[in-house]
Amino acid sequence: MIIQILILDYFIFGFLCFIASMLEWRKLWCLVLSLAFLGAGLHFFEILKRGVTAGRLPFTNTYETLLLMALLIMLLYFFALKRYQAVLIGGFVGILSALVLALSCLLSDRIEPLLPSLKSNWLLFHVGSAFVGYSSFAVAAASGALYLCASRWPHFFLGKQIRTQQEDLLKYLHQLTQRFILIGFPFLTMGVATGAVWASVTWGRYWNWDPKETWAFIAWLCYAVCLHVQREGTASPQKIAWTSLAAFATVLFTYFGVNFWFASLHAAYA
Amino acid sequence: MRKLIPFIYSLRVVNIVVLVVASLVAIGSLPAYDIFPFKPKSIFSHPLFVFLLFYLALGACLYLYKKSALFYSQKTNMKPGILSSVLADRFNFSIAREEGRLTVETMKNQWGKWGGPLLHFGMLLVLLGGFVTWRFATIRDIEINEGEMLALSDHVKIKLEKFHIDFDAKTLKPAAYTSRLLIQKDKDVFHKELKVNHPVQIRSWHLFQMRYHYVITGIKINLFRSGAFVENVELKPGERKPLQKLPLWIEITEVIPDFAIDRQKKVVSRSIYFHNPAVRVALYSEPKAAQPLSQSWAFQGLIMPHEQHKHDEWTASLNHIHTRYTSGIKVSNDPGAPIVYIGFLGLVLGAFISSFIRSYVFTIPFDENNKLNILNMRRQQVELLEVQT
Repeated sequence: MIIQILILDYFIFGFLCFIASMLEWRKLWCLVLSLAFLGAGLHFFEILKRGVTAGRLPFTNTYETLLLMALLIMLLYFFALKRYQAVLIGGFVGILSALVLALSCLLSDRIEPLLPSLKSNWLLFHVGSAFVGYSSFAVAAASGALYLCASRWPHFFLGKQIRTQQEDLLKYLHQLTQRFILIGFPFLTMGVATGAVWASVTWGRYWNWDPKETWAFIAWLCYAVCLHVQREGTASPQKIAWTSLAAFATVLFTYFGVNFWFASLHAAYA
Repeated sequence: MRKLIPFIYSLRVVNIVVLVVASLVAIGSLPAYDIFPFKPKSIFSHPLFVFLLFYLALGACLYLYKKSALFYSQKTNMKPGILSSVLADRFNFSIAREEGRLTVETMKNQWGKWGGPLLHFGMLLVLLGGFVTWRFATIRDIEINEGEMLALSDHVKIKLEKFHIDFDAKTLKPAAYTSRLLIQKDKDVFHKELKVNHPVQIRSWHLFQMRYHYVITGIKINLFRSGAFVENVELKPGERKPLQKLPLWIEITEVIPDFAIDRQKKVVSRSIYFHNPAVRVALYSEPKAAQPLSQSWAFQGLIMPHEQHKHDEWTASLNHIHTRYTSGIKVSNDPGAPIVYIGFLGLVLGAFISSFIRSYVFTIPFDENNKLNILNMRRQQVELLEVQT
C-alpha cells in the first residue's frame, strides 16, 4: 500500500513540477517540494522498516534495489536542489522515480533470508556504491533530457520569465549534467571494483565475463567516453546531453535487461 | 610518425576504440544463439579484442607519461602572499615580476590534477593483472566426495571429511554450506572449514566453496503387517530386494526430500532439502512382477501407521536416509589477482580525486588596465576578488 502511495506521490510531484515551471507559480513549487520531501521521508521509513524486519541490509534482491534506487534518485535531487538550486529537473526526476517504483510492483515483496553467497561485508559497499552511481546518472540523464526539451520546445517547458534567461538556464543545465556524471562515475567505478573483489572471494575469480559484470563494464566505458568528450571541450552541450542519455540507457540495460533476459551468476540477486 | 602517434592517441580515436571495445563486450555477453556462427564468449579471448585492450593500456601509459612530465615541469615555488588574506581559502601564491609587470599566480588543490593519471595508472594495472591471470593463472573446479582424498600438488592433499548445510531456523532455507576439510601439507595435518564467502588458503592455492550435490547410498525402512513389525530393511532407490522373513520383494520407487500435498492433491517436494523426507515403498510377490501387491508412503519419525492406513495390511516407516555429499570446490592459483586489486584501488581513488578535488588556478597580471584572467574560480570568489581589488 505504501509503495502505491509513493508511486502516486512521485508521479504527482513530477507532473506538478512541469506545470509549475510552465506557469512559474511559486506557491505550486513550494507545494510540490513539500510533496517530494514527505514522499522521500515515507520512502526512507519503509526501507528502514524492511531492513529492521529482515534483520539485514534491505537491498539484496531486485525488489529491494528498485526501492533503494528510487529513494537515492530523490535524495540526489534534493542534493542538487540545495547545492545547485536545480529546481526544474524535478519533473523528470519525479517521473523516473515513480517508474522505478512502479516496476517493483511486478515483483514479490516477500522478505527472504539472505543467501549464503550474499553474507558478506562487501554487500554494503558494492550495492551501495553501484546504486549511488546509477542514481546520479539518472539525475544527469534527467538534466540532459530537460536541456534537450527546453532547447527544442522552450514555449512548452519554460515559463515566460525563465524563457528570457533561456541561454543561462541551458548553460546551467549543461553544467548540472556534467556535474552529476562526475559524481556518479567514481561511485560506479567503486561498484565495479568492489564487485570484482567480492566475486573473487565468493566465486574464485574476480572477473567471469558474467553478463551483469560485463554490462556494468560497458556502462563504465560509456561514461568514460562521456567524460573524455567533456574534457575535450569541443563537444556541444547538445552532444553531451545526448551522450548522457545514451550512457544511461546502458545503465538501464545493466540493471533491468540483464536480470530479465540473461542467465547470470547475479540472476538471483539485484 | 611524429604526426601519427598524436593522432592514434588523440582523445577522439581513444573514444572510438573504447566504444568498439564496449560493443564487442556487449556481443560477447549474449547467449550462444544459432544465428551466431561463433560462440559470443569467444570474443573475450580473440586476438583483436586483446589487441584493443593492449592499445588502451598503451594509451593510458602515454597519458600518464605526458601528464606526469607536464605536472613536474610546472613552477612549484609557491609561498604565502599578501592576497591570501583577501580570499582566506588556503590558496598558494606566487608573485613574479617580468619587464616591470607584476603577476600574481594562485593555486589550490593542485594534487587534484593527479586524479586522472592515478585513474589511468590503475586501469593499466588492472589490464596488466588481467593479462597475468589470463596467461599464468590456474583455476579449476574439483568435485570431492565425503571421505575422499585429493592431491592438489605433490605436497598438499585435501580430504572432505563432512559436507554440512546449516538451515535458517525460521524459514528452513540454507544459511550456510560448509565443507569440513582435512588438509595435509607436507608433514602438517590440520582441519579447516570451507564456506561460501570464506575461502581457505593453502600456500598459493585458494579454495572456494561453489556447489554440492548428493547421492542416496541407502534407505532404512521398517516394514509392518497389520500394524505389527515385520522386518527392518536397507536398500537403495530403485533396487528390488527380497525380504528375509517373507517370500516377498520390496522396492523403493520414489524418494521425496520435502513431502507435501499441493492444492491439486498431488504429491510434491517443497524443496530439495530433507526437511520432511518420504519414500514410496512397493511390495512385489515376484522379483520381476510389474504390478506391486501394495504401495505406501513411509515417513520419518512415524513408528505407527497413519490413522488413515492403520487397517492396511502393509505399511512402512522411514528409519533413515543415508546420503553422501559431493562438494564442488574451485581451486585457484592466480598471480594476477594482487596486481588487479592494486589497480582497482588506483582506479577508485583516481576517479574520486578527479571528480571531487578540483584544482583552481588563476593569474592576475597587474598592468595599467588591471586585466584579470581567472580559470576554474567559483562565482562567490570572483565577486569577493572584484570587490577587494
